[in-house]
Amino acid sequence: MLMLFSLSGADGIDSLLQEYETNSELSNKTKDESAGNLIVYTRDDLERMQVESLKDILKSLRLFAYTENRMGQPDILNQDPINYYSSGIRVYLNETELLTGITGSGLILFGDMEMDFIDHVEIYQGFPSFDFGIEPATTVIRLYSKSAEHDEGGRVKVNISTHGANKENIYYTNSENGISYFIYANHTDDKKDTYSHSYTHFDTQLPIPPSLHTETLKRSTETKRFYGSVGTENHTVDLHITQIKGDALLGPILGSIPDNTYKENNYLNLSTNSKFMDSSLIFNLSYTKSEIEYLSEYDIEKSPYPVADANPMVYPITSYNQKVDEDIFTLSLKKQWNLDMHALTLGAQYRYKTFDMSDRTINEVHNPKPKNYDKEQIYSIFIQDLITLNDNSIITLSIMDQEFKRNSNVKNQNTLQLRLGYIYTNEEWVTKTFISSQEFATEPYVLMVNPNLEESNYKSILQEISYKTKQTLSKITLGIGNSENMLIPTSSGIGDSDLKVDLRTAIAEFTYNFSKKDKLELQANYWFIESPVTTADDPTEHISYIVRMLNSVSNFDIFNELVIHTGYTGVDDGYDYSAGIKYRVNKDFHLNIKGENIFNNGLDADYYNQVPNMPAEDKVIIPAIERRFTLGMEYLF
Amino acid sequence: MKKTVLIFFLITTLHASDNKKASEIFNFIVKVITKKENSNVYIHTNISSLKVYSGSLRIVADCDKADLVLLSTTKNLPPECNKKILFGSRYSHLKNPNVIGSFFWQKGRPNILFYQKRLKKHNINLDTSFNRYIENK
Repeated sequence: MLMLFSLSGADGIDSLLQEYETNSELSNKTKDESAGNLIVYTRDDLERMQVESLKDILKSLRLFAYTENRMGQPDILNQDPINYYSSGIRVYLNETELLTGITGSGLILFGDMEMDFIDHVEIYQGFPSFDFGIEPATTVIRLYSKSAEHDEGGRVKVNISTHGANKENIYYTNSENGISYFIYANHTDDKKDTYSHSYTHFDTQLPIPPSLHTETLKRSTETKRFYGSVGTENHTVDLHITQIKGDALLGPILGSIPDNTYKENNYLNLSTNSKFMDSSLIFNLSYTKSEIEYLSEYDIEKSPYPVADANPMVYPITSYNQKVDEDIFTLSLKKQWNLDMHALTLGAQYRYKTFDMSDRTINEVHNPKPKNYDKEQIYSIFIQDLITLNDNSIITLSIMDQEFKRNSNVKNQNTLQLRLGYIYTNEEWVTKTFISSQEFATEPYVLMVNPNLEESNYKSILQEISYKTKQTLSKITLGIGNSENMLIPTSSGIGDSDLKVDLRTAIAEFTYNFSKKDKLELQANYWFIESPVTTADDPTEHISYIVRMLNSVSNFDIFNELVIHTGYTGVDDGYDYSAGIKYRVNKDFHLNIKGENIFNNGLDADYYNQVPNMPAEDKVIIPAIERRFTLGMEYLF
Repeated sequence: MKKTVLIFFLITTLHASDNKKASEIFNFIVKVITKKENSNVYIHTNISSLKVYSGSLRIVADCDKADLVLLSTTKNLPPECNKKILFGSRYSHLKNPNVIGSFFWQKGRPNILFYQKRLKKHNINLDTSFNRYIENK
C-alpha cells in the first residue's frame, strides 16, 4: 500500500514535501508571537495526541487545571459557589468570539467542545494582545477550523467510549471557482459516570429535624453541532449552531442536592469576516442568539436555601426553572498601516447585548426575576504599535479602552488596558518581556447579584526566555503581579475583595525532538496567589508537572501524557495518565484507541452542597475528568 | 522599511516561503515527467504558487505549445488540452481518467499521487524516488 506520509530521512521530492508541510502548517500563518506567551497545538499535535475535545488540552494548560462549575459546565478558574469564574478566558473560533451575554466568555459553553473540525489551536496567556477582541482577557484561546485549502474532500468519524458515550461527525470541504466551503455536523452523547452522595440535610427555614439522604449526581450531556463556512479569499460567512442538553449536576442553588436536573443551551451565531486593501483593513460582523435553561427538582423534605430575589418568596422549594434569552451583536473594524519601522494598528469595536432572565418559575409558578438590567453596550477602541528596532528586536505598545453602558440602576464602567512588550530574537534565543496594567469590567451575571461591584484590575510583569537548538527547545517564564477588587463569595452573594492580592508564577519547559516524528515535552508550573477573601487564609500554591511523549513508528502514532497537580486547597493531589495509539490502516482509514485518566487518579473538583454555618458544611467531591477509554475510527473520502 | 529577517512575526514572509516551496515541487514533478530542464507548461486556470514563482517552467498561453498541462480545475478545459499530459493540483482531479497524477492537500498534509496505468499510457517512466507515490491503478 502507498506510504504517503512516511517522508523522513529521504532526499529530493521527499524532503521537499516534508519542508513544504512544515512551512505550510496553518498555525505558522496565524500565530502571533508578539501577542503574548504562546502555546501552539499544531494539526499534527492534535491528531497524534488524539485530542477529542478542548478539555483534553485545557487539562494540561499551564497555570490552570480543567474543572467544571456546579452545573457541570467548563470553568477552569472555578471558585465554587460562584456559578462561573472564567470570564477572563476568551475563546475564538476563527475570527468570531464564542460568547454568551451574561457570562462574557463562552468557555462555559465551548470549553469541552469536540475538536474534530479544528485544524490547530493557539493559546495566548499572560494578558495577551488587545487586537483579538472587544473585551480584555487573561487568556485567549483561538481555534481555527479546517479549510478547503488543506482538507479537500470529506471525513466521517465515529467514537465509542466508556459508559456507552459516543460521538459521530462528518465534514466535507471543497473549493471551486474561487469559492470555498466547509460544512460540519456532529452528535456527541457524552454519557458520564454517576456519583452517589450521602449527607445530613438541615432545613434553614422550617422547624423540622435534620434528615439523612443519599442522592445520585449526574452530569451527562448530549451535544449537536453544525458549523458551515463559505467564502472567497477575502470574504467569509460562518454559521454555527449548537445545542447542548443534559444533566446539570448540582444545579444553580445551594443547600440541597436535587433529585433531578436538566440544562439546555441553544446557540446560534452568524458572522462575516471581510478583508480589504490587501488585508490591511478588516471588518467583522457577528450576531449571536443564545437560549439557556436550568431546571432543578427537589423532594419537599430537602429544600435548597431560599432564592434571595424571589417575589413572592417561596419555601420550601420543590422546583426551580430559569431561562435566559440573549442576543448579541458585535461589529469590529481594524486597520493596519506599515510605516517604516512602525506597524500601526487601530481598532474600533462595538457590542450590543440583551439578556432576558424574566422567565423563571419556582415550584412551577411564574416568579420572574426583577427585570431591571437587561441591556449592555460596549464601545471599545485600541491602538497598537509594533516597532521594529532592528533585525532582532521589536517593541510593542498597546492602549485599549472600553466604555460599558448599562440600563437600569446598574452603573456604567470604563476600563483601560495598557501593555508594553519587548521581544528579542536571534537564531537560538528569544526573550519576551510584557508589562501590563488591565482593568476588567464586571460581567452581567454577577452584576445581577450585586449591581455595585467595581472593576477588577491586574498589574503584571512577565518574562519569557527560550533557547532553541536543532533538537531542543528550552523555555523559562517568570511572572509577578497583583490584583485588586477580585470577586469573592460573600454571605449576601458576591462582593469585591478589598485586599490587594499578590500573584507569582514560574514555568519551565523543555522539548526534545528525537526525530521529525518523535518528541518529549517536560513542563513544571508554579502558581502562587494570596487569598482574596481574608489575610488569615493561606495562599494557594499550585504546582503542576506535565510529561508528554509523541512517537510515530511505522503506521502507528503513540501518545503518552502524565499531568500531575499538587497544592489545590481542599482536594487531594491528582495525577492523570493518558495514552493512545492511532493506526493508519491505509491513507483513508484510521483506527484509534485512547485511555484518559487511566488510573482514575486525576484532580478532583469540590462543590458546596451546604455552605459553612448554614448550619453545617457539606461538600461534594467528584473527579474533574473521569477515567475513560475510547475506541474510534475515521474514514476519508 | 527595515529588514526583518529574524523577526518571525511577519506572516507575509511565511506565505512567500510557502508559495516558493510549492513552486519548487511543481517544478520538480514537471521535470521528472517531461525529462526537460525548461518545460512549456499551460496552466488551467490558476495556480497561485506558479503565478508568483514559475521557476524554470515556461508558462505558455495555449495548450498546443505545452509539454504538460497543470490543472487548478478540470472544468471547462479547452479540448486541445485533452491530448496533452494532464497533472492535477487536487485529489478530485484524479477522477478524470486523462489526469496522470496530482499534487494536492489532504487531511492537512501535502501528497503526490500517480496512477501506474495512466503513466504507461503516456510512456512515462518516473524517477525511482517517486515509487512510493505511484499507485497500481
